Amino acid sequence: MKKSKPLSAYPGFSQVTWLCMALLYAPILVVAVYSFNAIRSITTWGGFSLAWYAKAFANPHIQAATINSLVVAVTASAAATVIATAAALALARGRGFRGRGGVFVLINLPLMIPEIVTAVAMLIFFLAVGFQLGLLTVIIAHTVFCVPFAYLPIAARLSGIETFYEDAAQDLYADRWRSFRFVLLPMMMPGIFAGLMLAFIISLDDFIITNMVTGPGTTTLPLAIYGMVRVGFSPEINAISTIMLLVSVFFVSLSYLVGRRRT
Amino acid sequence: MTRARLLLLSPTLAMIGFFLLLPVALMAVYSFLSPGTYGGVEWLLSFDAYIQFFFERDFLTDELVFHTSYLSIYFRSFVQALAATVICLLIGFPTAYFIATRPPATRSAWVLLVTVPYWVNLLIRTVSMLFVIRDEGPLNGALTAVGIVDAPLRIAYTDFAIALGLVYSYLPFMVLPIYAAIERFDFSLMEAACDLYAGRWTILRRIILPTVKPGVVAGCLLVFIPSLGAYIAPDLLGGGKNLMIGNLVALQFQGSRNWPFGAAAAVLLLSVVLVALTVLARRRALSSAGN
Amino acid sequence: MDSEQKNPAVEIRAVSKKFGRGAEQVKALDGVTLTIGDNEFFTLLGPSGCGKTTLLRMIAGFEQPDDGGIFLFGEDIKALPPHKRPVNTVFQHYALFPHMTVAKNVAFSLEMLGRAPAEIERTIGEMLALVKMEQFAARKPAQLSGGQQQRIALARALAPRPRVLLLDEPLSALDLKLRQAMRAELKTMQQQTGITFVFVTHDQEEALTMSDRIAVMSGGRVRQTGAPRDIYEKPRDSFVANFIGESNFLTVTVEKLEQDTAWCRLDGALLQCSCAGEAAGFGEARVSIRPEQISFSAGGNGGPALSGVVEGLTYLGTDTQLSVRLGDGQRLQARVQNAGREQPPPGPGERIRLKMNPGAARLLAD
Repeated sequence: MKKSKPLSAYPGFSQVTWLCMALLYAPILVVAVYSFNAIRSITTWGGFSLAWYAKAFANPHIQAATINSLVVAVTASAAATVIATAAALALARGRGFRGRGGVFVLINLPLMIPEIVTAVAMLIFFLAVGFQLGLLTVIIAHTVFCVPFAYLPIAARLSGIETFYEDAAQDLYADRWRSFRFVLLPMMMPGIFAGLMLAFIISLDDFIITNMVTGPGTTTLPLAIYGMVRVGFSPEINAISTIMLLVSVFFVSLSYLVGRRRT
Repeated sequence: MTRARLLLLSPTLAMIGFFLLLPVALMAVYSFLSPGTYGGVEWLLSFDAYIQFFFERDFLTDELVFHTSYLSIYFRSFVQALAATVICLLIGFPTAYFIATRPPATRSAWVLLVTVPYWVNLLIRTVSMLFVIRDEGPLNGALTAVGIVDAPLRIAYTDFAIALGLVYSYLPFMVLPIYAAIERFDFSLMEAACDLYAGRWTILRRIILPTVKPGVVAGCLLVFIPSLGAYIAPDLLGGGKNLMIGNLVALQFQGSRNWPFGAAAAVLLLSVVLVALTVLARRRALSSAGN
Repeated sequence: MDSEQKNPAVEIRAVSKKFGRGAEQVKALDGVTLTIGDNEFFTLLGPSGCGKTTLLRMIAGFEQPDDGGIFLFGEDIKALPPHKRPVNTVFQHYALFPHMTVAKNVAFSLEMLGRAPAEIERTIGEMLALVKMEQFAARKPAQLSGGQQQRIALARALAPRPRVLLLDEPLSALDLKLRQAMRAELKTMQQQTGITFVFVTHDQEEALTMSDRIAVMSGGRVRQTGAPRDIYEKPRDSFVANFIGESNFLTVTVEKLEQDTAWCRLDGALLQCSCAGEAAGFGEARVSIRPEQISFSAGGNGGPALSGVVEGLTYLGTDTQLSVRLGDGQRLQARVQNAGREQPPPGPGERIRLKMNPGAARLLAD
């Protein structure tokens, strides 16, 4: 029998795949490599150095932005996770109810509306009702758009938990609260954790909405990077970008691993 | 709805209803008001914001003259989004197909590889792209050093750069739904078609494509929709000269401060997106009903 | 059964339950009345969708009846939520809490009831000893085999010493060998603990081998309640006769009725049939007879004895099954053991004389 490629293989497809991977990863890898270049040059390698990282960390502007970013991300992701967990319990448990579709659309609304539209709508609203633009408005905005990201893994986890576990808990003398507290909640925990991680990085990454609803003096990391890029490229930007890349990859991997874990 | 369920849903209803749905409604109201002198609005009913898209008021005669500068921004945005979608499809389909035909053990690693960039900060990815392609960047540095070009290639701050940025931003959205569709494809159909004298490319066109069409349509819409409202890619890679709808909206709340006009532009963008999403939801419902 | 009259463990009185609305409405239970005695191993047997699981969930408190009453040792428990009913359940898929160890699973109910730690410790030990799983106390359920999980589910449900134990097809997920071993063990355990077992299954063999009494259900109704022997040998109607074991259904004419006996005419021969009394009437009726209750001998040519022509033979290992056509055109299956028989079985086309054991044929109510 003549040896041939499997029928399902198309010539050129593997090359396109590698092109796709190159396109997705080359720019960020290039930036990461240059962040370790001891000199400013683009064309010559001046040796490995962490100098740009040291310089970035020493920048008080970046320090302040980092603290703001962390405060916003921790608060907003925690709030969004609580909201999303409650919503998942209402939507995934019990029989269908009227308005279920509507609630579902509402949860996913932040994903459906273009970010720039959300940004200006929130700006208009905050000013109209007399909110002072600043950390609070940023946290509120972040909580809103983090809800669907937190909801996704939590709802997925919950729908994978058969109802008979709660039945069993109640059969064994646990009331509704205790059957939630000691059986359902621990079983949901990996999903809740995955949702929290996703919400955290989504909050950490946001630029467009934060840019609109923040006030003077309240800068987050993406805003700081944007401001610096406007002035001109510096290896410092490469260093901060690389750190943020690593943080994102770390939290996504964590979320992925925990979310898939079987209890 | 039971009381417990209402209690569980109330944070969601309050948070998203009060801080997203209400603001969007308010924005729609603002689009029908008159601009204030220093930004903001006057509470006077006016359709000027929508008329402005098509007509300009002549200084001298005070007559409305048809103009296309705003319309052309919408048109450009469509063309850019369409170009990005086509390029994503050309790269994304073979990639999705390739991944779906890997052995199951390595498949999920490939999927993770495609997914990770989506979760990496969009701003930073776009900045990275700009860093690489700008005149003084490593790409031009390498090209001049090797001697392929004498002067740096002008890539950054062009329409091509925007399209490249959009493709880079949303490529995972094309690959994943197509992958999901091809993964469900029954490859014994391929053997059957081959047995009936169809060639590889005929099989692709006549057997595979029609079966995975819902995934392709979903992928195209998932790239087209965010591309249409993109802000970061045109802003950074277009250098602020080649505007898209997103930039036009943002500008009205920063520079020239015509809030009603900005609100109207946002309402138009939102309407197009909602129509596209409805089409997507319909197709999903249809394809799941067909199964 | 005098305990049944004195002190019924569970009493179901005219319970009905509907699911769904409008055209899709299904009657899950339709006027079910049952009395389950204390210390009894009682089985609800029926095909899927017959209402047996709904009835079990109702006793546990997961479903509410639309109509009727549920009593536990004389007390109306209809208004009690599941966590206040002194009954426990062994779930079909065990429902062991995956994030807890075996010991924690067994201890769960005792902790919920606020028992003293020392008592909880002791009970865990006793229960794990009862199901011979002492060395697995620290394991998580995922580290156990299906059979081991099933034992833990049993230990967990028995730990709070329920007055009634509900078992929802607990053996259905096990393979055949394990299932057969577990039958005997369950039965022993029930006798040792003296707890009333209400056991739900669709497997007739399980029901026949383990139960003190069986209620056969179909379409949301109880078709017949009785000891395994009664259910098998004296089925009330064609559903019961058909669902349990194999049966021949023959049309006869009832000629004479006595207390428990009906004399019926089949193809010219007179048969002695058993009957329930309630259903009896003269004229055309149906009887059921098990294939192994029919014996035969060579020859036979009409006359008063029943005879027929062999149409086919099927070799079944221990038995041989004969397909016979009677003179009036009705067909029946007869089965004979292969071991120890002297003559070879009759061949196709041969005429044989058929003999039915007196009273083996049952006059059906429908």
